[in-house]
Amino acid sequence: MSQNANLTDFNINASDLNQFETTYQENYNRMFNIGLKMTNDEEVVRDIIQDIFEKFYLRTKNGISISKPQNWLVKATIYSCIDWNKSRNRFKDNEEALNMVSDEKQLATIQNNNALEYALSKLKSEERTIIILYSEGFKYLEIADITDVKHTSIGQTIARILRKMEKILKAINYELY
Amino acid sequence: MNCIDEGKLLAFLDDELSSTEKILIREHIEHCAKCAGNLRLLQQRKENLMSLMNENIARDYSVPPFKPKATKPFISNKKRQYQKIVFYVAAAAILILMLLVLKPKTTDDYIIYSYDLTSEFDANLPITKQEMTIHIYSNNDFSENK
Repeated sequence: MSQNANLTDFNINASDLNQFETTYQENYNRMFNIGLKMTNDEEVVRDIIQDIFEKFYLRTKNGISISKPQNWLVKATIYSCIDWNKSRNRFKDNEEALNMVSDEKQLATIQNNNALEYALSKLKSEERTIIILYSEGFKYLEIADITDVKHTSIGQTIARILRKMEKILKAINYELY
Repeated sequence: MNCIDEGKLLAFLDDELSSTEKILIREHIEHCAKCAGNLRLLQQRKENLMSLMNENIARDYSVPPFKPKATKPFISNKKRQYQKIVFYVAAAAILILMLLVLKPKTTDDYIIYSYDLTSEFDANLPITKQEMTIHIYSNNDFSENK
């Protein structure tokens, strides 16, 4: 009920309301999980999703057609999270430079609960996106469409990323098995 | 059939291959111990990493209601670009105006005073009664003011 009131305030007409609510309900969890894996910060992800849905509604309302809404929402989540990570890493890098932390020392201080975050951070941005989408159960065709990677090479790419992650985790003595 | 690469094996595990390809791979694995080993290894790697990636992810929680921050008017890209140009032009105009108004002075203004005694100096009269010409100059304007 409160949700309907909010959406009415947002000037959504009755015919668009149902469609918008369905899209919101269907995609929220997926976007949230992707965002959480990319940023590791629930509050940030909620804000990001909020902004994305506002943009999404304004676009559709103003007649800008979105051919694949689900992919558009996922893409928007990924790019927003990448932007957020970039801004965060800028400060992180500065702190690291100030503290003059050596790589070995850095590795030694990594706790097991941060192992996954560490392994993901060592991947390239595109690799991280692919593996996160894969872990969320996206099909190869969807991953190819979102990341603009050739559909035929998705399997090979994911296999390579899995091997790379395993290697990184083993390097920090993380007990994977 | 040659040995199968990891990409194909993973696609086989993920059910991303056509039925013909799946049959071919299944037949090959039955006869090739190396590929069968690789497939088991890949499956183990995939399961472990995916469980690690998904262990802290909430699957069944209620979706929060959509709360729009404010009803903002939609601004198209063209309009946004136009607004940007107007903003930059205005900023440039303000900057130029400020530069003109607050133009730094290179040298301080000062006035030069000098005087000439036009007639002979009369020692019997006080200085205020002496005849003299006073010259006043400005450093910016060397026209003489008497």
